[in-house]
Order: sequence, then C-alpha cells, then structure tokens
Amino acid sequence: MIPPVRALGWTALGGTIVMCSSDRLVHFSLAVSIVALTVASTKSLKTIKTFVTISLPLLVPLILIHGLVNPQFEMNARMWSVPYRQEGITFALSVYSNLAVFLAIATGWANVNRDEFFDWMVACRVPVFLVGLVGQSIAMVILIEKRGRAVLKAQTARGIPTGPNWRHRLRALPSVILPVVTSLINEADQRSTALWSRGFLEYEFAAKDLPFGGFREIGWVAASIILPAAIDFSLRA
Amino acid sequence: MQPQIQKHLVVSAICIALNVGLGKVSNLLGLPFTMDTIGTILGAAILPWQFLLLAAGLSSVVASVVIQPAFMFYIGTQIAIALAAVGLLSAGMFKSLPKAAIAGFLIGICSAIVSAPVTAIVFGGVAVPSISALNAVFLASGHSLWTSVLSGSMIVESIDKIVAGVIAWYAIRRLPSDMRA
Repeated sequence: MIPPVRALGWTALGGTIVMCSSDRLVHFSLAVSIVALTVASTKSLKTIKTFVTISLPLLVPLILIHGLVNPQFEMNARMWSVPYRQEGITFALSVYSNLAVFLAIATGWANVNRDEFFDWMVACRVPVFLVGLVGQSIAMVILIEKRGRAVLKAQTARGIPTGPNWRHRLRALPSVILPVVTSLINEADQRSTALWSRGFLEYEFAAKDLPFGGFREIGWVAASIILPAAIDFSLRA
Repeated sequence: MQPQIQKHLVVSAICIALNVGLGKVSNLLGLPFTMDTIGTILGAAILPWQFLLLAAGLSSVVASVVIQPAFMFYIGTQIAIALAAVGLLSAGMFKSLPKAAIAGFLIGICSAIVSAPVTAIVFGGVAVPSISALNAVFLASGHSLWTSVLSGSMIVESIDKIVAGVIAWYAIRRLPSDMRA
C-alpha cells in the first residue's frame, strides 16, 4: 500500500504541473512516472490494469469522436486505408494528456490504505464528522447493492415481472428501489443512536504527531520529479 | 454533538450512498439509469440546506472513489441539483406524480446546463457512454462541440431525472411525517 503522504505529494505535484504547463509530452511523462512509481511502491502490476481500466473508457471515445466523427477537423490522413482526422487525434490526445495525470494520481490513491488515510485525516484535523460521513457512505453503497439484489430476488419470487422486456423492467423499478430507500431512511434513527452510544462524532483530536515517513518519503517525491523529467528528456531527444 | 445533528449526519450519509449506489440497483434490472439524484431530492425533503449541500458535494467525492475518478469534476452539478431540488420542493413540485415528473425534467435541464461545460472543456465531449454516443451523432451532423454536448446531455439527463423525480416522489410519500423538513 501507498502512504497517504506520498499520494498527497503526487497530487500536489500533478496539479501544479497540469496548471503550469500545457505541454502534452510533460503530462504523459508525469502520468507514466506516477503509475511506474505506484507499481514500485505496491510491488504489484495490478496498478497498471487499474489505470488502463479507468483510462480506456475516456481515451477510446475521445479518439473515435474527434479522430473519426468530428467534422470540425479535416479528414486528411489514412491508416490501413481508413481515413481519419489528424488534428482531431491531436486534440483528443491533448485532452487525454490532462486526464492521464489525474487518472494516474487516482490510481495512486486507489492503493492508499483506507484506514490509514482516515487516521491521517483525523491527525490533520479534518473534522471527524466529515471523515465519518465519507466512511459511512462508502460502507452503505455496498449495503445498497446487497439489499437491491435481495429485494429483486424477493419481488421476482412474489411474481412481480422483472423482465425480459424493458417495459416490465421499468415497471418493476419502483418495487425494487423503494424498499431499499425507505428501509435505509427508517434506519437513520437506529444508526444515529448506535454511533452516538459508541462515542463516534464526539472524538477529539488525539494524534500527537503526523505519521510522516521522513527521508524515505522525501526520496519518493524527488523520484516523482526526476523520473518524469528523465522520460520527457529522452522522448524529446 | 446534539443528537439532532448526529441524525442529520447519518441521513446525509444515507443520501450520499443512495446517490452513488442506486445506479447499481438499476443496472441489476438491466436499465441504464444512473439515479444519481434520488438521494439529493430526498435530502431536500428531509435535511436542512447546509447538510444537503454537504451531502451533494460529497456524493461526487464518494462516486469518484467508488465508481470512476472522473466524477470528482461534477461536484458543481450535484450542488446545482441540490439547489434546484430545494427550490422545486418549496414550490410544491413534489406534491403529485405529474408535477414530480416535471420537476425531474427541470432538474435534468439544470444538471445538463451545469455539467456541459465540464464535459466539453475537461473531457472533450466524452461523458457516460449514452451521452457520448449522442454527442458523436450531433457532432457528425455538423453541430459544434458545445452544442452537441449540451444537446446530448439535455436528452439523456432529462429522461434520467424524470425517472429519478418519479421515484423520489414515491419515496417522499412513504417517509414518516416527522422526518420531513
């Protein structure tokens, strides 16, 4: 896992570079570096898969829309006898270069341990109610999906048609969603009492010092500056 | 912390989770609705506006963690939807089914107007697959990127939000009367 301070360092660095530079090559170098450093930190190639999974739904439509469809760019090039718009591809890549940095940073954050990150936020004096709100919401999203599945099975067992055509599915939608919504809202009192009785939200700042990795983390931040610079230099050379 | 505030925080967390999670429930039925506003509309009926705005803003943050990091850029859309929902609720637009459908449509238009600049500038016209496909059709027919994004978003968002408005109306009717703000 990646320490929160490292992910924060990459966020600050990525944000600053994207705001200060409009050079596509700089952005791509930075994105590649952050993904490479995340792989080095986690010692797992799964990070590359995560990056590709969140990148492709943006990159492919961008290239298709602007490289083939958008008539604002001239159809002036061919690849394997397929005509495409050279300027459209350039535009798509320049939009994606900004997004690539953001997605690389997001990939880094995806490898931060959630508990460690919440401890960090508390230590950084982020209000505990905000930390609790985000944590509770994420936990409840999983609960909603589970309940949705259970309600769908129950309604199907009761004979409510939930398919196969879309009209049946659309008519079944309220009967599946409403029990999930009302049960959750009705549980608010119980959840609130349970949290209050456990002293949650009354928690005061207790951490004496921030969990900072010292020279080790400074080294990582230095690497995340030197590596993209090296990639950028080698690409230009 | 007062018990009432604690309860508001818990309800806010539920509204955030509904915004993010109900799309997955809709997908279980094979329907393409995102349902990312039901929590916000319900919140407008239950929560004070400060908590509602907090819940709306954090919905995008949680969606960016759970679904796709790109949702982070749409915080403004969620906040605009929250403000529109508060206005429409106070105007009595969720008192009957047809009015709720109209309110959903208006929320959809509001959502499309606020999110179109983000989609056009940050994402180059690419959004969720259904909107991207429509954008491509509009672009191919000779419209500018901005017009295409706005038109595509308006069509998809208004349909999605009409469904969300109707579901929210059903849900509001089932709320205990002591819970409504």
